[in-house]
Amino acid sequence: MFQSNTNIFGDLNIDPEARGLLETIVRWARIAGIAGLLSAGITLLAAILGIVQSGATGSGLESMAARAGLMMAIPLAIGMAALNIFLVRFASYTGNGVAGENQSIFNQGIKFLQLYFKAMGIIIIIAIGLFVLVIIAFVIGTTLG
Amino acid sequence: MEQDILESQPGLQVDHESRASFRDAAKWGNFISVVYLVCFGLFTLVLLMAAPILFSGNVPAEYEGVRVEQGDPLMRVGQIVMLVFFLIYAGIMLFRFASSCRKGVETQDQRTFNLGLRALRNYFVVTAIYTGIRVLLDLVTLTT
Repeated sequence: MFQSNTNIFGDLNIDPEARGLLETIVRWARIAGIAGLLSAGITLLAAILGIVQSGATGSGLESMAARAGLMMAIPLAIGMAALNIFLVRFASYTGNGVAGENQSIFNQGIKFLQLYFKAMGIIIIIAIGLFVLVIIAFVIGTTLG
Repeated sequence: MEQDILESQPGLQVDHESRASFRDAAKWGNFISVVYLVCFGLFTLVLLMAAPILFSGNVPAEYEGVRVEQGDPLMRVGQIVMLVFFLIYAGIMLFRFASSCRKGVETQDQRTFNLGLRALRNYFVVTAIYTGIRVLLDLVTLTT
């Protein structure tokens, strides 16, 4: 017969299917988060190595380009690291909440998922804004010069 | 009284607090999915229009634009196919998560909510695989 999926307050339950899905989500989110943190580190390392190499062998123009690369890599790496820290925290809190059936820890985990998507959305909006500014500057530069 | 009833409920619930978080996550997920799909469209368009120049071995001498002529062509094609596949699949899965999760939470429909979770699982699977491959490729590039 019909079985209600909500409790007496009208809330959805985390049924066995949702529980299994959440456990898999947590596993993959943790892998994605750790890989993302590694990627942020590699981005920063590559930019620093570029500076070291251009300082040792490169010309003045190469050295300037490497410094500009580092200036772009620093905010990029910080943004990537922040994003992936949210993802790793989502994975650990939600995993613990589901395993221990702790509602408060589970809620905190879902809050980190919300923060992850929100931070990603804000970073995308900033990137689109910068891209539009570069295009406007290019068009003005082409028109004037 | 209410506390007693809550404690007597077996297992976890999507309560008022997590419902708000899921709804907000779905809202931002929807925006990100649209960006992914637009990027996929633009990337495919640029690739179709510029491929003859980008991959041509006979680049005109006066051409000063981007050239993708270093490295193994198979590797190059593989990376582009991987990026295009990631953008379209992650975009669709995120869009499905956003719409199903929001609908499931608002209508209290367990089946629709679980569909949203399934899409979120697929999104994280493809994100983890893509990020892992990118890290490995970056490490290879850095060490060579």
